[in-house]
Amino acid sequence: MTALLLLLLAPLLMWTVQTAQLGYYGLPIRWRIDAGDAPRPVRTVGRIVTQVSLLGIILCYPALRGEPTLGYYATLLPWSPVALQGVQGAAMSILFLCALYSAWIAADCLRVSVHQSRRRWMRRLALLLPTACFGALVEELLFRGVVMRDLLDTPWMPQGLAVGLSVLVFAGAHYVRSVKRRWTIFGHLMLGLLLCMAYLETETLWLPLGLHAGGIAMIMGTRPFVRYRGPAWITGASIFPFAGVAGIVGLGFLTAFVASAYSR
Amino acid sequence: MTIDQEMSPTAVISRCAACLPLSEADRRDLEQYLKDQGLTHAARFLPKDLADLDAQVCAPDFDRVVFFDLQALLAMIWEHEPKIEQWLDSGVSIELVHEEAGHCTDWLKLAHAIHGSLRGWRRRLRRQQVIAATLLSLIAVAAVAALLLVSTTP
Repeated sequence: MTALLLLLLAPLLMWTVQTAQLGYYGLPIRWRIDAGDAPRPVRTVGRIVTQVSLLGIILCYPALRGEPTLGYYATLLPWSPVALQGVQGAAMSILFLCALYSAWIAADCLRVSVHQSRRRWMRRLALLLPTACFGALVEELLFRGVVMRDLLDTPWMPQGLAVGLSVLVFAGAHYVRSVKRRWTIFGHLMLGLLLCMAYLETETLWLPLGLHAGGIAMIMGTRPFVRYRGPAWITGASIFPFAGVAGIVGLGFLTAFVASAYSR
Repeated sequence: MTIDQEMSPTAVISRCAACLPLSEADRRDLEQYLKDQGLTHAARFLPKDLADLDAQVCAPDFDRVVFFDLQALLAMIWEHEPKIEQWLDSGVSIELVHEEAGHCTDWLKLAHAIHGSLRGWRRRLRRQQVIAATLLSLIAVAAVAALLLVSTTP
């Protein structure tokens, strides 16, 4: 449970820094972590604090277990043929999203329209791979490498409960900050289940990392060029194509496939 | 808005929204128009946010909406299918910076402009769908190839 306690410190730190900054600018305290309409420095510092606190947890956790940081993560990301599972994961999630996008474009639920300036979308595409890999790596190290592994290593905790808690923590963490849409949580729960099952079955982070990075790359890569026409309950919205019924069912199939194909 | 209105404490400030064109030159023209009309306070909407504009006009948060030209207005109608009848019922005035066909009484010319806009939009939509389908197919084929390659690696 050490990891969960550590993870709880992150929103506490984020909220404390936000409150201090709002006070500095003479603005009222907000009970939610929400810097949406606050001055730019509040938002920037908020983002930095989030990233630093997450990286802090990732770096501190192995030390708390009494293990060297590099050694700990080397066991989770072994440099062996197992690493090819990362490519398999990425290919699977890319195929999954290609199928969804194609069906929705054919049904006119998704319209192709460039709604960003050329400079902006070219910069986005140029940074696509590093952004997707870094984002997925941080989340996998944190939610599977630290939280889930810690829960699985808790002697009194049944495996099912450890997986369930990991899924809840992963999904819940995406809603700590104030968000535009809350109904997308079902998609995050299903995505969490897929990634947790991928880790549980393979015992390394390569497969969940590949699945996650492939998904982020497809979603962020198509984002400047598509507009969701809905209905949202089928297609999801914005950066959440996995949050509609079609996406959730698809993630369910993908989870079942991962659980059977990679079963130990 | 006139200077008198600005000075008067009882003046009702027009709640105006402006749809920003993509091109910088057109955007400058629109900004100049807003300045000339005393509408610098107008809420600006990017083309990608026009669904939000529709929702806010229906709210109704605005009583004036400014478009760059008829093509920009029509593009919004084809692309976002706004509830124009609701706009008109609530007395929202629609203004065009460039009114080539906007106040035209030559209906044939207007119909021709509308038809041309619709035809162009359909052609663009079809072309975008074909490009998207081609790219998605290529990405899917590459993913399958990677999957097969990795799966057959000893």
